[in-house]
Amino acid sequence: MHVDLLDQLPCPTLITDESGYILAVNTELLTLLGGTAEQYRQKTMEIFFPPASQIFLQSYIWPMLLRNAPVREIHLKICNTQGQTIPVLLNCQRGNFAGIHSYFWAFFVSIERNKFEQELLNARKRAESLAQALTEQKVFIKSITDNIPGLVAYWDTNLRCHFANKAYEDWFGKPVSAIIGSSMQELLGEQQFSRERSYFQAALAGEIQIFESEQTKLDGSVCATLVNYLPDVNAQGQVIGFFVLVSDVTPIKTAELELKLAASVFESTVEGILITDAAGIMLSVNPAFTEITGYSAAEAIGQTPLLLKSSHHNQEFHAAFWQDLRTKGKWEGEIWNRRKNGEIYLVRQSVAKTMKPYAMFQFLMTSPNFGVRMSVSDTWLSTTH
Amino acid sequence: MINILERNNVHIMGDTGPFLLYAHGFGCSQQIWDRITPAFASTHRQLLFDFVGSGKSNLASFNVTRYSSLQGYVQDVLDICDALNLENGVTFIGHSVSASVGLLASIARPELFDRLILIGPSPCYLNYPPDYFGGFETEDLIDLLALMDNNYIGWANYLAPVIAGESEDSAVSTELTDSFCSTDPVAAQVFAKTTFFSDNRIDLPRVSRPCLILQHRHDNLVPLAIGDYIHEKLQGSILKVLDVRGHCAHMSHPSLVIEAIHEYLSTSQLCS
Repeated sequence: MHVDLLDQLPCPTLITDESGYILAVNTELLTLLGGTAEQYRQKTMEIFFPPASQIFLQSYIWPMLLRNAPVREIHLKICNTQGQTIPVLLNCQRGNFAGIHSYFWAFFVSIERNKFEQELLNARKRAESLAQALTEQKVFIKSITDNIPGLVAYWDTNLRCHFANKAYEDWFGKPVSAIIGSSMQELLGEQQFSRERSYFQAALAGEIQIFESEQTKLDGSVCATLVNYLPDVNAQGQVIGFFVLVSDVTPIKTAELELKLAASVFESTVEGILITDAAGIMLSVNPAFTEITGYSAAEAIGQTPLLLKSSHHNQEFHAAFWQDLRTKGKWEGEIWNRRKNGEIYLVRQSVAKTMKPYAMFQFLMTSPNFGVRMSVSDTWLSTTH
Repeated sequence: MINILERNNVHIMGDTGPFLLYAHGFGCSQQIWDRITPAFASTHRQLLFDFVGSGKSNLASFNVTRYSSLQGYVQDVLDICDALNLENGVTFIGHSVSASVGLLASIARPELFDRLILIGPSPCYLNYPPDYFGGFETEDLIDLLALMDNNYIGWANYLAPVIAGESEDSAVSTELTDSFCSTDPVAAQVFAKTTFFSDNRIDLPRVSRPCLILQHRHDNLVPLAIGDYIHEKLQGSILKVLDVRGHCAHMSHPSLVIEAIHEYLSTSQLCS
């Protein structure tokens, strides 16, 4: 009677006692799995399940049933008589069958649904691994930009900050989290903002901007910076923001000033100066050199100082000259040279080796006494003598 | 400082008598002991807890690395004993994988435990023919993990935002629902892997505390021969086969388990 009713149910159904012994199976279940009702009676229901599902039954489903918890929509696999496994969803609850406490197990074949859910699971796992990779990439980029000794940032067309590296923290005294999202006006302050307005407007118009700017740091110190605004252009050619790179160039600026000073001395002194490289080729001469020797810079550069040599001195003189340079690193004395126009003249000359990395020779001629100082590097000494 | 008693959802019942410390197995929570504890309410102080990642433990304390080894679960047990200043006299009652957790805890701190009662223990679930048959092949356990994925990654989890997880703060702090056997998918996966891929056979001879082994006669998770195997390797152990089907005699046949525990506690009390 009960079995007749069971057979009319449109889903595979199984009834067991409290220990899992099979009391009844319906036609739908037999259709799904094969075999006969007789064959299964008094066997244990575990025979239907592959090992993983058995573990799941023992670890979750039985404990739930034993606590009278509802078991609904649990994924399991079930084996048919051909040894194939079929994904099913299980609902189970306690009941009464032929006067004994029993469990009613209803299965829903879920082959299609399983495929669909598996796809979702896979998609989710892919998304998770992509998110993970993205995080790692972000950490990598952050470590690069944080280690750059300059300010790196990104601003959108509304002049809102989307990215700022750690250098911004030190420079503006705010955490990066507070800088990101803030407006440029807020961050720079009114004065600097209007000073730089034309530059970022040009950047937003698509033009690369490179300019120098003097900025006052939090501690009040003023520093020279080199600012780069690089427009970010999308595939449609629209500017969607710009990258900012600010370098502190104070030390370079200081060195530049010193160089300028040195250059002005070189240019204006009344002593003729010439500088050669390690091979003895003249790299630079000053205006006083031209005045003394008659050779213009264009004529002298690229030649060696042999250009000035007269035949006035004997071999001993030259040997002593090189000996001094080699042992003392300098030579000082009077020497007869020849001008461009052929005149032989006496100068007081000193020569000194310069320091590396230039490895140059430096000839210095004193004027109006026509003294000349000259310096020679070891390299030239060894190659020429 | 983390409050251990909150972290592990510790409950203590009774205020006199020796301590019974109950450890649930993979899959459920301390609620599995509901049918055992009333029998010892007047004679013992009973200590129940959930491992981190199970039941109503504090999920924020879950750490994949820590709980990828049984030692992580052992540490939960020792942390709880330390938090309660327990130094000796504890009877450990562990189900399934927690039997191994108890054995390892007793190796680490033998003075803490008086004796251990192991319900459905298995030192290793995998087959290593020809000498050892834990019952399962590696593929079976991989299938189990896939099945768990299907069951735990419910719709809510499918649709939950993918967390990029840059810092600890952004970790998911899911609240488990109150229903029995509810569990966090990530923690359950880790617990499953740790449980089913652990091999503690070499640890058995290192156990110095007396043990009662309660083996289910028909257990699809633990073949009958495993009871004999453990009995042989655990010095001074007693093996009792419960004539039941299944893996949870303490739930399906609580009176048998209570009787066995009573008997064992009285015997070992006589001995000591």
